[in-house]
Amino acid sequence: MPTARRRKPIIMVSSSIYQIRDLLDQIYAMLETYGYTVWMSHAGTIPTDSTKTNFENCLEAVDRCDLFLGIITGYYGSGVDTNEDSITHQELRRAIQQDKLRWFLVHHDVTVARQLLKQFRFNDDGTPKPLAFKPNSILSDIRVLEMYESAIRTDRPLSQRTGNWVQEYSNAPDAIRHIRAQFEDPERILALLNQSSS
Amino acid sequence: MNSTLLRQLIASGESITMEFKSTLPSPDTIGPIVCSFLNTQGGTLIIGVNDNGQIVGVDSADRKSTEIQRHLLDKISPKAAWSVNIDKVGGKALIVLDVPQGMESPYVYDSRIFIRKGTKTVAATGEDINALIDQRHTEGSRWERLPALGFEIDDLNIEEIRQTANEAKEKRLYRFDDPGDPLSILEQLGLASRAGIFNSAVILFGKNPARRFPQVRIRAARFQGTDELSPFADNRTFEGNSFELIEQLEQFLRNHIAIESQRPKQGVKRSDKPVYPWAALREAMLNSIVHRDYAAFDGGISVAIYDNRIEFWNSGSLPEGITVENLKGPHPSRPHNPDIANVFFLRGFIERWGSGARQIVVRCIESGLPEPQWSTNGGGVTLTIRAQSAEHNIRLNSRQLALLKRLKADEPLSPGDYFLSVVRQVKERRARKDLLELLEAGYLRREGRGPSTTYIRTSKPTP
Repeated sequence: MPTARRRKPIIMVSSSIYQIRDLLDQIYAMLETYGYTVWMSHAGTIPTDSTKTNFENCLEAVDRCDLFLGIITGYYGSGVDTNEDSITHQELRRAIQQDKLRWFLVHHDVTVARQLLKQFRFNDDGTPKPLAFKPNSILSDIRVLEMYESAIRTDRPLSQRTGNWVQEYSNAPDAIRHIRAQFEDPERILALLNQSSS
Repeated sequence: MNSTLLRQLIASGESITMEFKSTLPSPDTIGPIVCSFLNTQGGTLIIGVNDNGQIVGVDSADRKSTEIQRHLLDKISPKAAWSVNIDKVGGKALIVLDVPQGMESPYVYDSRIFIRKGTKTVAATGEDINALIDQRHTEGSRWERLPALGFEIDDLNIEEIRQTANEAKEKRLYRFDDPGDPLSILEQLGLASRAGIFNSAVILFGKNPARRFPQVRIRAARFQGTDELSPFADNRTFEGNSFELIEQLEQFLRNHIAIESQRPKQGVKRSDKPVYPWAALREAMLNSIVHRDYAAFDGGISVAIYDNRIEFWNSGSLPEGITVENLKGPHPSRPHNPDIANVFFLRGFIERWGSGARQIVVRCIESGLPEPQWSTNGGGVTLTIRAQSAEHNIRLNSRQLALLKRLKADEPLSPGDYFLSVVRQVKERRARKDLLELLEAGYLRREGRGPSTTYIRTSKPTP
């Protein structure tokens, strides 16, 4: 359950790390300075329990955080084995299931790739089509698109979609500007938290 | 750094861009200072100088500077191009960190953001961070970061990319996530993204960048005279990536810079040295390639060698806050093309930040040359390096003195008239040399060419 009355809201930042380490460092420092407690595996700040697996610890962190920030890049990230969904994917799914107060950033390449591949992924009636997909420098795994679709809630009719705001970014300054606009005022976020918990 | 330069820098005192530490502080103290310089106006941290500007020196500077480099590489993000050097002044070693203003702010040291306020480094507040973000937003996109549409990794010289990675590792202790993958190297250097390579990568490593960017060409000319109306002794246009351009231009300069032979006061062995100091010419050449404006198709670089000077012109302007007046003094570094400049730094072409212009000045003065001059004109910046004034080398003979006494300022003189006037004293060849010497010494200027050449008496007083 959200812990809305805590003085410093806890925000969990979830993403794959490859090629965005610098951006993650910047986001971590910004959020800390704005007045949040930041849980981020790249920064080593996810609370852990040595009796649990890494995946369990991460998913538990999603359960316990107040706010969830997901960053979707073309890199899918890793799972326990190649067939299993990546931990980033699982975290995102869990945050949506738990109906966390959440924010998503998605890289421009991902949104373009989704539009381009739509015709090959779905039949005209919307049923999925098998696709022989090869990893490339834009998308390391086709499931990146599933993450994005989860974030924008394509599972629901348009009229029923909430919590589906996903901000596209092309470069670090875009992402930083969005983080600033959303999180510079922790009082606003606390008010949102109080609202959602009441 | 030259000790004269360093003394000048220290004499300027602590400021928003300058900090002294008398003893080696812990890395946790150095990191925030470097981070704050990156986020503010750039700056220099000198270790081995106390708060009063007194030089006290540092022991084991070599080992300590390596430790500092490793620590900062690990803890500062995004990656930035600061330099750590050891300099000696009066036999004492100083560790000097030169930090250009970064263009990827906010920079983070160990999960915190620092800025410079006056002479202090402080942790940034939320408002400070917002100001950094606003400033970066105002600056907009850089040309070097735009995608080079139509270029693939195969259009680049892969060996040159690998060499960059190797030299960065060796010279700057830089670590690459995947040194075997050229695209990953470029991504880490900010020269490419997943979607493709940027303009900067084409400029630096392109197989033939001029096909797409004609502005990379360099024009180089050797004039037989002192102005652009003089006939060409050589006239070339160079093409290629940055490293190929450097090689070609350097060779051109070596081919055309006169060597001066000097007989020492004692002994018999003559020594040969170029009329211009190589260090200054090399710095001028690198400055023009690294700091020029690449965006406009009609931009470029031109190098003109005259009998009495060399002019380096490049398209672009001086960075904001830098003027032709303050360029020669201590000033913060703000590279126009930071990604391109960073590769030059990693390759060892640039040793330190913010001192290129001062190096040129000091090298010229040390070699007995007049102080070089910068000027802004025609959408570009011109650096003029003059040869040693001929008046130091020539002693005017009686014919030359008589001529100068006879001519009034701006009075024309045809070479034929002069030859006739001295025909009983010397041969025409010697008379011609009289005029050339007066031209080089600045007593005469030349107008016209060939048979229509006329000399004009300048206002320079007769000695």
